Amino acid sequence: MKNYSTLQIQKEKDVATIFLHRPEKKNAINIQMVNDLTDALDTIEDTKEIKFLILRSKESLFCSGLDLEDVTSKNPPDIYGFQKWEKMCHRIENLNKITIASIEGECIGGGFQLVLLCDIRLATTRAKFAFNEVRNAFLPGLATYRLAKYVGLGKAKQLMMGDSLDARDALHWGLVNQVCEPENMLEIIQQNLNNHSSLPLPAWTLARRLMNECYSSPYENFLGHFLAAQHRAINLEDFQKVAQQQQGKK
Amino acid sequence: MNMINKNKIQDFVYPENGPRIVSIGTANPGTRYSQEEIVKLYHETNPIIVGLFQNSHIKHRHLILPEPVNGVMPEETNEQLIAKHRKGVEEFGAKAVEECLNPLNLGPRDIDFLCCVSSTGFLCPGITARLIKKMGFRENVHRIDILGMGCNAGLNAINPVVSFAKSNPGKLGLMVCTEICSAAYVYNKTLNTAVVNSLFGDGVAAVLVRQDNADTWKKGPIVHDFESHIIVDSIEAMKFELERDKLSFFLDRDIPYVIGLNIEKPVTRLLKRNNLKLRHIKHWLVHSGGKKVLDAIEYNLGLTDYDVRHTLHILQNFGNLSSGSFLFSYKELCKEQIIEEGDLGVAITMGPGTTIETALLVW
Repeated sequence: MKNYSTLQIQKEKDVATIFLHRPEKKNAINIQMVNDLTDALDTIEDTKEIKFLILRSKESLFCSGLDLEDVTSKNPPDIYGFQKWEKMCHRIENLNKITIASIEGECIGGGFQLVLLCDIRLATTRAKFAFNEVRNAFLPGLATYRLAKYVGLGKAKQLMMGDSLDARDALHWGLVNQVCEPENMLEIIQQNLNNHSSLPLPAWTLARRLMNECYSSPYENFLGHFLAAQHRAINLEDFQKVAQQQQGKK
Repeated sequence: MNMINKNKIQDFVYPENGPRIVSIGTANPGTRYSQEEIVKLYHETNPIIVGLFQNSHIKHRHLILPEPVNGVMPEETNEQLIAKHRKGVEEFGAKAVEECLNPLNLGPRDIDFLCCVSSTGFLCPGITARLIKKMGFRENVHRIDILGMGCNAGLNAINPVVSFAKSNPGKLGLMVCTEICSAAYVYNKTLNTAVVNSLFGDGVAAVLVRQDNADTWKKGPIVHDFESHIIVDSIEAMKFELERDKLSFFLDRDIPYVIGLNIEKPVTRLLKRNNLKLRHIKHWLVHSGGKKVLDAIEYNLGLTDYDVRHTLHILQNFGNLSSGSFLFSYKELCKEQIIEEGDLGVAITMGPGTTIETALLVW
């Protein structure tokens, strides 16, 4: 794996871990980090051996949000950095791997946006979630599109106005799947890796895509998408193996 | 100069120059009908057939249909259908060619190679000869008629035009896809014909191809590479059949899924040979074969409705235009004015054989 100025990347067997790494800026997301993430995703996507991608941080915080210095450096400000960010987010959301976010400490703004993209979201008891964008008079990206799907419109509005959530609330609201003490996080991650080690990736990515689309497709369109996805699934090797096993049992 | 895209894809060798699609013209014959209007015209009451029309994801199509006589649509004879095809290809072929050539201040006499495509009627002398007579192309224009290959034929046909342009820099190749689908329109109230009649529309598209060192990406994309795929196990899945004395197109219901299962093969070969990944392709120009086949392509290639938005638009507003459909999608893409230097595109057409044709476009 390559070295990046804003990320540290580890690969162990079928697990790639991306650590956000700008400790001097509390892991704030700048355009360099967006470029680095995009480049790292290219490698991870192309490496067949990798089954899991974990997003985390080595610091006692996950991410303090978008780096406002970076966002406001252009006068007049332009939209292209945000466009790049959204493109990268879309890549994570649809990556051909199982994605896990592991959150410790502050998880603000853009960091919170990253968490919403992941399949499994794990937090320590010290995690704290908030969107700071609207308070800073700009918008929290396509969290405006994703957040309400997790928590419903009412709670989404509450969060977008800047209310913060601790880990327990985030668990109750369905934003994270599990909460643990900081010292237990590695164990919890490992449990999740073990639990999903035999999950067939093609079927998972198809199911995930359908679920991500289900709020925005009319029923007839969605049915067509489902049939296309199901036809692909039942013709892939994973399902053929299951079918053969069933035949063997008979 | 914007080199951002070029720097991005490290392993792809960008061609310095090559045969480019430098202009496009289209024409839609006949009258624009809504699906409901067609159901009413034919007094269709069978709920299954009415459902086919309603659920086709098509809103409008252009068709050349006869006038009702005493409120009833007259049955068209074979002679009438052949005449309709001939009149349609001549009249609307000429319109599309004019729309293609006029912006470049070119005329038929400037064309060195003429290729005409049709699967909706058989003419001898062929469409090239008829367009040459009607429009005044040169008497020594090279020509080729490609007949009966079906919806995929636009890419099969542009291949020799591109080869001609490549081996004759500066000379002009013109391809015209002339599909008068209403001339292959058999109405006998059966499900087989209703599937086809609810889907196909009339449309003609012409594209000009030339290799000229003065042309840049702004003129149009280089047609850089082709890859084909034929699934002979499904040779009977799309075909002309005789419905009494008339040819009628037949579509097997499994075809969208057969295409879906096979679509990765040619696309992967095309991209791999050029050291490309799916994520490098910014523009997808897919034949508007029908909603199911588009769903299958989307889910097997990992494309979104946004990726195939031009094709969905063409399907909704024009239906399946057979060989010229992907060129209508290309025209929609051009209208958006979002193309940048170094962008890559893949064109995909599907048809009888069962065939999938693909081409790599480089701006």
